Amino acid sequence: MNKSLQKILALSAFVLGFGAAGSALADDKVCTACHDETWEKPILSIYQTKHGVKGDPRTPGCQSCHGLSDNHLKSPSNAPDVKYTKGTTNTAEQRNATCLSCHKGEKRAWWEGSQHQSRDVVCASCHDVHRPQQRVMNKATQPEVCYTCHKTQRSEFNKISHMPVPEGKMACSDCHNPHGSTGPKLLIKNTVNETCFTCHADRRGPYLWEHAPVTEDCSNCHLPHGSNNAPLLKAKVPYLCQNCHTGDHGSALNSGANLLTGNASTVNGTQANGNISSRAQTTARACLNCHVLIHGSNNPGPGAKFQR
Amino acid sequence: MKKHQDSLALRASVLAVRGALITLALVPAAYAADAADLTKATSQVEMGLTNVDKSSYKFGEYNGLQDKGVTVDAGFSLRGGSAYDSNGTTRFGITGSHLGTDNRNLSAEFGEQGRFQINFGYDQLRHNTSDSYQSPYLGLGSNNLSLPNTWATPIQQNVNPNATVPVVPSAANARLLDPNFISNDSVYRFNNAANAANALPGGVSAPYAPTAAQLATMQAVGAADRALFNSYDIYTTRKKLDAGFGFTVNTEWNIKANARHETRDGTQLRAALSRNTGGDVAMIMPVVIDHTTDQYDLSANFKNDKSHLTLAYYGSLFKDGNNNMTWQAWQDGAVVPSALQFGPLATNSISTGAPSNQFHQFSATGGYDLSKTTKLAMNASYSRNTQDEAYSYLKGLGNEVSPVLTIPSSLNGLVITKTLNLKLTAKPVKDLGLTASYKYNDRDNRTAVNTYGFVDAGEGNPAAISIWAGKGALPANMNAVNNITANRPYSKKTQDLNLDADYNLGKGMAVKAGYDWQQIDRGCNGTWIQCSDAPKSTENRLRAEWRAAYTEDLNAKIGYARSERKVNYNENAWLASMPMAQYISSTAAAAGVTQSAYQAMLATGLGGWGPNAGFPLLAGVAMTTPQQQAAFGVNQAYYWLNNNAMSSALYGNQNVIYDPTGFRRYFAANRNEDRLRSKLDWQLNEKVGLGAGLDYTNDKYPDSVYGLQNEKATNLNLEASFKPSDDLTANVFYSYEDRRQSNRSNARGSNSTTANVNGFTAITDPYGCTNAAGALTNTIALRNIDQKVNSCGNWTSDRTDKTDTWGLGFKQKNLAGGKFDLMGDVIWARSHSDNNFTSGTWSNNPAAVAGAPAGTVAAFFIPAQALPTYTTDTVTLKMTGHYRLDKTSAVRVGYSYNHMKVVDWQMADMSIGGGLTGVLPSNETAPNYTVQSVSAVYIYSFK
Repeated sequence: MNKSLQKILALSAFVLGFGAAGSALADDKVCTACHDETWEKPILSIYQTKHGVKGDPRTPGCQSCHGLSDNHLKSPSNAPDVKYTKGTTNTAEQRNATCLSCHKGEKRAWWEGSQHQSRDVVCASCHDVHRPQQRVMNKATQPEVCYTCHKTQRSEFNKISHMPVPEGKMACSDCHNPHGSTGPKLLIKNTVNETCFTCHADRRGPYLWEHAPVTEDCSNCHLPHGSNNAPLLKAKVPYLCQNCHTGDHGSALNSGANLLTGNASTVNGTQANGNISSRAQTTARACLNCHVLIHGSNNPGPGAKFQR
Repeated sequence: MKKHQDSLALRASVLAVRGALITLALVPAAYAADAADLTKATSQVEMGLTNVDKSSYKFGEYNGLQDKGVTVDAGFSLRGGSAYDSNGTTRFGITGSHLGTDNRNLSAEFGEQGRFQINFGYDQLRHNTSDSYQSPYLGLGSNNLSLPNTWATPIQQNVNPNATVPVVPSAANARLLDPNFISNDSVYRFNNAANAANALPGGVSAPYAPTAAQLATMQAVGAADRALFNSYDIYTTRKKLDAGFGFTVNTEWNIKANARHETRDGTQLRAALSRNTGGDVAMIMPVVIDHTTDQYDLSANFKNDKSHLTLAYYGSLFKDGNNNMTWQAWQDGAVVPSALQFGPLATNSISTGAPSNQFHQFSATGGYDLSKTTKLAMNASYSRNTQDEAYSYLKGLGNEVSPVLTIPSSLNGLVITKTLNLKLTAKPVKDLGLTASYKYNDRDNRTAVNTYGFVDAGEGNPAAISIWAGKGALPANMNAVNNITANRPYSKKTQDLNLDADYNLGKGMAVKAGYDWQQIDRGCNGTWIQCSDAPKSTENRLRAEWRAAYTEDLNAKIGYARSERKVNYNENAWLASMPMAQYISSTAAAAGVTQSAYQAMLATGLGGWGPNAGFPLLAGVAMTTPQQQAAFGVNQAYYWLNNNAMSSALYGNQNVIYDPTGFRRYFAANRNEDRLRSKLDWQLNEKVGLGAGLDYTNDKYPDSVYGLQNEKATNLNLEASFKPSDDLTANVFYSYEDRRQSNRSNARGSNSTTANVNGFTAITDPYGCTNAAGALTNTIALRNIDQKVNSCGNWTSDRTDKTDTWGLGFKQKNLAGGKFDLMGDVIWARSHSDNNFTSGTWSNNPAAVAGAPAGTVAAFFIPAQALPTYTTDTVTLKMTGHYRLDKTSAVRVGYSYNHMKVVDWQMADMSIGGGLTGVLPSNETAPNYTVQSVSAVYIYSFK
């Protein structure tokens, strides 16, 4: 179908009283005449989506995104002007420009120069706009889309301690803005802590007694996705704590010899180390047996050492 | 980037949702007869049952299936609105999922596209923490825990080698709850002369033991107390209500508003510390969680062809409905051993650690296209974070102290954060992209600095501490436990500069180079001396990346980054919490002190650690002032622990923690970092795709004599996908992760002139510990004289966390004549964590008691042992079948096998029979479950 015919159809539709929707559909018809319900990929399902609400004058038509595609119309073997799927010859910039012409600002304010933009990730890498229920827009299925590239995170979410992402109660986009952000690692807020506090506002303080690494960055002690050490810790306590603390009993060595089973051989036979019992700084909750409010305390007394 | 590979990472909890999505995707395709099927939204209602064969809190940690039995599996998705080919713009959707569980979700949206949209949502999440927790306390689930009036304190019959008869016991011992512990008489093994069978190895017998009656009493106490332990499930439930509104003013402006009200209720386990004669004791208690968070987002958004602007407000108001927990101390009962004793029990209190607070942020974000290829984005924000909850300590309970200065009844905390972000991107020539960005983030903590009285929990007596008059005087009754300390409200100003250049080499190849600069300035407003370990740190990073997409089916990437962080480390940051270090108290002046503690340190050029040299043998000389110290040439530390050269009564320095010279906290230490990122994706043909990736990070802390030395992480990912036919897809993956940390520390002891243990002097030391002079420290005297610098004080810890994850999945469509689809996933994951050490610890020989044979070893140096391996094994198998009965009806059936086994040496000590004396057992156990579930759901779809 040539361009003149398209215009005639569009004008006819308008004259016949189809209004804005009718006009837009007339343009679409140029494409949907072939790409109809029999097409292998359900092209027409886009009419179930926001991009298919023709009563909204902002709604794009086929040509808005794929171009007028005269060569394709002349011969279907020629690709449309802009193609988003396999076999495209369009650059990432060309493909993204189509989307960004409407979707400007707001969540995309920091797209330019972002980690994804600068690595040629295109909108269509994650978004399937023809699909009524995009996987990336659903909390339960979004991680699958992200795991396509971020495979380490997939295994991290299978660890014993993990955020409830695999269970569909949390999505990657609850913490990350894949379109770019002012924070590190595409976090939705300016800093790691500010992002964490959107859910963990109870940790925000400010506390009377601040714990410096907590105030500095939650990720000093926690892994954000999953860990073998609950709750999402980089290492087991007390060893995590001993990375920073050498004062008083924090300086002591907590080895297997300090456990109930940690008998050591001596010249007088096998004896348990210490007082026969396990060392409280080594086992159970270790340091957290006593320093219980480790994120900070508001108690003017023993709170200085996070005891109460 | 490859598109839409099917993931294997599925869990039971999401199968229902995913199944529903599959249904939505497949039903129209399978029965598509006309365009209406594709163009009109499909609604769906589903109802069924899920049966779980065993209860397991861990299996049901986040999926609401923690209980054995049948759960209703219900959900719906109702969608509709104006027909696409009409002039209407109405759209609506109402969805619900997991409605029969504690993890239900409901949402609704309605709008006229291009005009307005409103939406509502409700989401519930139950987080299970433990179903094995047990406690003897009454009132579990409330904020006031008491012990039953039949609770008897488990008292250890005292081991006193110098007494002639069994004496009144002095210490509570949680291990006495274990009948085997008492039966085995192990606690008296070394003090039981009457029982030859219990003689020590080597023929040494101990002279004192409890009587049979006392043993019987202890058994009775243990038996009675054990019967008081009851189970209590630990979990919290989050409930979130949200409502949003969007209004499109015109093609350039829109307004959005969103409000979220979230509550979190339940209990969370946390230890609680109290004090017992001879040491700290603790118990694990369910702290009542009663949190409410209200969040608000408001924004006005503008955009045109060349620019965009967002003016926004974000507010977060957190409220803690439970400020305190109080409990009776389990160890404080009467201590007469002849009968079961009951109370009185001291009451303790603890703040819940989550003070109510508010956060308000105003921001402006804009962008302007200077040209088609040059774009500027900018953002500025102002935030105000306040916290003014009344101090939650309870006075008069014998375990908290009053502030020693007149201070407000609350913190009146205030943090102002100002940010500025600028980013300029340009493409000066076709193949070159440039990016420059600058970030400024100033977290200014304006909370006032005050001085407070301090004692360890449960240790002090508030009546014994007077009001501190400020400089020139110490509080009365400063002693071994009482002290004063000041808060350190941390501020931090971060600046980042990032420069990037990306060049397209052609033929699908591109290179990228970048430079990052970061400077952080830290400090406190109002402390008398710099409060931060790292007042200024500067980091420079260079990055390089090569990537290639030779064809659409083959792309690769490798990147490397190297950064160096330099910090002017401040070893005296801890002094900021010691206001007295800058003053000479009147008491000290009267004693002849002419230097403050800090002046003394400056004069000698030493930090709190003091000199490294050993302690001279000056027995009987009391060192109380720097002048005395100088006169005697005593090489002590300036601050407790190790041989405080200055008395706390004069300097108020008790309970101060400092670090050895050369120690660096890793997040504030010099650091060199190497990062490697690589990836390869290769679609061999239409049927087979391969992928691989290797990431490596190595953080070194080259100038940290003590502290974290090294942290490494290696990740390997392999994946293969298969599509032998249009109806069958499968993939397999393997991920390996290796995380390592190396730490070096110093278990310094206190120097002393003590030369024997009950008269015995020899140390058996296979490790070969040496003193400062290099001599073997094989006697008590040689060890004690300079234990501070003994070679065996230095120890190392090398930790590894290794995780293997295997996955296999498939999806077979159109079985049974096109009516049946089957998908399955299996994931096997195994993690194992190890910790190896060097050095060891000294332990006095229990046999070195009065009456032991001459030559008995006084102490042993027991070499460190590796920790038992901590392992987690997980197997998850999921199978889901979807059978289409007709165009509108389908049945989804599912089966899952879930297994987890954890071997955790730390959890073992939480049980009665564990090894801890001072922590009341909670009987918590490591996760160990095998749970199977089956489900059947009927699905009805309609237009």
